[in-house]
Amino acid sequence: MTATTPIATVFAQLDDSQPFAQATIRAYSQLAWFVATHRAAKDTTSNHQNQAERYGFEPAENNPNGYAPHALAAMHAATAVANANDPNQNTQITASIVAAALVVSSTSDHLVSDVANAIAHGHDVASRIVATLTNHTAYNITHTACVLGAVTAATMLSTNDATVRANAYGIASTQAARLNNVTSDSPEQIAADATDTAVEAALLAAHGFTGATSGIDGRRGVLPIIAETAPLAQLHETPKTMHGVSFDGADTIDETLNAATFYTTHLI
Amino acid sequence: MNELAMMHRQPLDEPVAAAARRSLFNVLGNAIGAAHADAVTISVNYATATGQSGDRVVLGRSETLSPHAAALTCGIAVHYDDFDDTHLETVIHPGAVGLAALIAAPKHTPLDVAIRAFGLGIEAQLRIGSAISPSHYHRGWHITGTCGVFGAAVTTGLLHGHDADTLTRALSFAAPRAVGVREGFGTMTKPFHPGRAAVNGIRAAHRASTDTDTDTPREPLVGDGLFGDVYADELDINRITGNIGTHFELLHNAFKPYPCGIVSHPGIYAATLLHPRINDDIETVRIISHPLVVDLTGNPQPTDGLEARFSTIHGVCAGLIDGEVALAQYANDRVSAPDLIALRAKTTLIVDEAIARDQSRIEVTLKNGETLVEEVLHAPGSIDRPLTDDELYTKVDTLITPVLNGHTEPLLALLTDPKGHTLETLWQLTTGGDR
Repeated sequence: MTATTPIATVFAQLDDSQPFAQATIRAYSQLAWFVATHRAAKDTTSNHQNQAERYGFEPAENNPNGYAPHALAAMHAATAVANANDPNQNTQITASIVAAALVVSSTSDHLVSDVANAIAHGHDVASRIVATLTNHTAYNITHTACVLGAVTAATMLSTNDATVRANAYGIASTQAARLNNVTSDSPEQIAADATDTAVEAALLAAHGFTGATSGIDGRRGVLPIIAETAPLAQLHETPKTMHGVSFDGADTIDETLNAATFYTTHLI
Repeated sequence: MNELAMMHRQPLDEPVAAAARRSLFNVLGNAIGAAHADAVTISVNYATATGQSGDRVVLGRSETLSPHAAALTCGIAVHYDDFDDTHLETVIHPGAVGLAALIAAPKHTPLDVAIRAFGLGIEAQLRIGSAISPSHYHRGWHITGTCGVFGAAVTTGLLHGHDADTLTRALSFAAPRAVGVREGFGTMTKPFHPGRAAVNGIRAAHRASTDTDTDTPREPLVGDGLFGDVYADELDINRITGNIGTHFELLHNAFKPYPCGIVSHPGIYAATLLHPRINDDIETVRIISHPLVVDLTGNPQPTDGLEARFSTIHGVCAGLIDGEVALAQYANDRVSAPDLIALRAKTTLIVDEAIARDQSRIEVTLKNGETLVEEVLHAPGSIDRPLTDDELYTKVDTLITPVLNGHTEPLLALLTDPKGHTLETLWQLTTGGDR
C-alpha cells in the first residue's frame, strides 16, 4: 500500500477483527456518554418530532422506528450534542460516529464489542481528517470529520466487502464539505446533517450504489478542493491520540452494556 | 440578494415560459427513460427497505415513496444517462433538481404554478452558477449539485408561497448544504448530486417556512466566508442580481442530442457525418478539440457505460462505427465490444487552443491511404444550433416510448396547455410502465 493509494481503499480495508484495545475501551465510554445524553433528553419521541420539524427530516411511514435509519441516526446525534455538558468538536464527532454505529448495528446482529470497535475505527478516521485540515477555516472541518468518521463506523457494521465500503466513502465524501461561517448552523445541526449523510451513504452502498474510491483525496476529491495545500500524507499516518470526551454516564464496560440495552429498548 | 428573491413576483412571459416547458418536457423524458437504470432501482430499493413510503411518484414506474426519497430518486434518474439539459456557459444541468423539487411538491399544485416555480428555480441556479464560473467548476466542484441546492430551495419556496424575505432565508439555509465534487464522475455519485441537492434545497425551504427563530444572514451568498467567497476565485454579483425580469439565463438552457458530456458533442456529430463516407478499415483517428475536452472527457479507454460518458474518444468511435450515438452506444456491452476497444486504441485526442468549445475537427485515415476530414463549427444542442421543437420531441419520444408507449404526445399537449390541471395529471401521464 503506497501513499498514492486512495485513502478510501485504505480505510475500507481497516481490519475490524483486530481492534486496538485502548481506543475500543474509549469507545465503550463514548457509547455510555451517548446514552446518558439521551437519558437526559427524557422524552425521545417528542424530541424527535421537534428535531424532524426543525431540521427537515421526514418521517418514514412504514419504518417501525418512525424514521429511515439516516434520519433516525441524525436525530440521535443532534440529541447527544444538544444534551452534552460542553458541546465542542469532539462532542459532535463522537455523537455522529456513535449514532451512526448504533442505528446501523440495530438493523442486524452485532455484538456490543463490534459496535465499540466500529466506533473506535470511526474516530481513527475522523482524527486523521482533523489533523489534515487543521488551519483551514473557510470550511467546517468538524462536519467533514463527522461525515467520514460516521461513514467509517456505519459501513464497517453494514458490510464486510471492502469494495462496498470504498463506495460508501465515495458517496459520503462528495457531501463532506460545508461552509464554516454560517450563523444559522448550530452544533446539533452540523452533527445531524453529517450523520444523515454518512448513514445514507453506507446503506446506499450496501444496496449497490457506487462512488469514487478517490473521492476523499483524488485530484478533485473533497480534501484537495477544501485545502489545496493540506498535508494529505497525514491521512495515511497512524494518529497519535484518539479523541476523548467527558461524559456523565457509566464508565465501565458492564455499565456500558446496560446502556446499550437501554438504547435498544427505549430509543429504537 | 433580496433582488434574486424578488423573483417571487416574476411572471414568466413567452418565450421564457416556453423555455421552461421545453426544459420540463426534456427532463421528464430523461427520468422516464432511465426509470429502470440500476442506480434508480437501488434508490427505490433503499427507500422501500427503510420504510420511506408515501404518495410521491417515481417517474416511469409504479412505486410511490416519501417526498424526499422520491426527490432523490428523481434527481438520480434525470441525470443518470447524462442526457439531460445543459447551460453551456456553466455546464449546469439544472432541470434534474427542478423536476426533483416538483416531485416532492403536493400533488394538488396547479400545473402552471409548478412550471413557473420550476423555471424560476432553474433561473436561480443559472444566475448563481454564472456568477462563480468558471473558477468554481475548475476547482473541482460539480456545479449541478452545488448550485442545484439553491434551485430546489427557490422552486420549493415558491410553491410554499414564500415572500422575498422568506426566500432569502431559504437561500441562507441552502448555502451550507451545497453538494458535489467532480471526483465522483463516472460513478453513480454524479447523478446522485442533483438528487441530494434537491433534498437539501427542499429541507432549506421547509426550514425557512417553519423556523423563524434562527438568525439567518440577510445576505446568504456574498460576503467573507459565504458561498460566493469560499466556493470561487471570483464572484460577479451582477450575474445574480442584474436585469431581473428582463434577462433570463433559462433561455440559454440547451438540450443534449447525445447521452454524454456535452463537450464531446461536436466530435460525435462530426463522426456521424463521416460514417457514411468510410469505405475501408480505419488506420488512425485524430480528434482536434478545445482543451476542456481533454480535461472533462479525456478517458481514452472506458470500461463501462458510466465511464464512457466521460470519453470523447468513445463517443467519436461509436459515431464512426455505428453512425449514431444514442443510449445503446453507452450500454456496458457496447462499450466493451472488441471493435470499439480496437478503434479507441487507434484514436488520439489533440488539443487546439484556437478551437471553440462547440467546435471539433475529426481526421480519419483509412487503410487505403485516404484521409477523411469533417469539421463541425456548432454542434446540435449548442447555443448557435439549438435543438428544434421537432428534434426535442423525437429525443423525448425515443426515451419515453420503451417505458410508456404512446404517452409522449399527450404529455406535450398537457405541458403546452397546463391551465386547469395539477401535478397529479402530470404524474398520471408519466408513471406506471413497470417491467
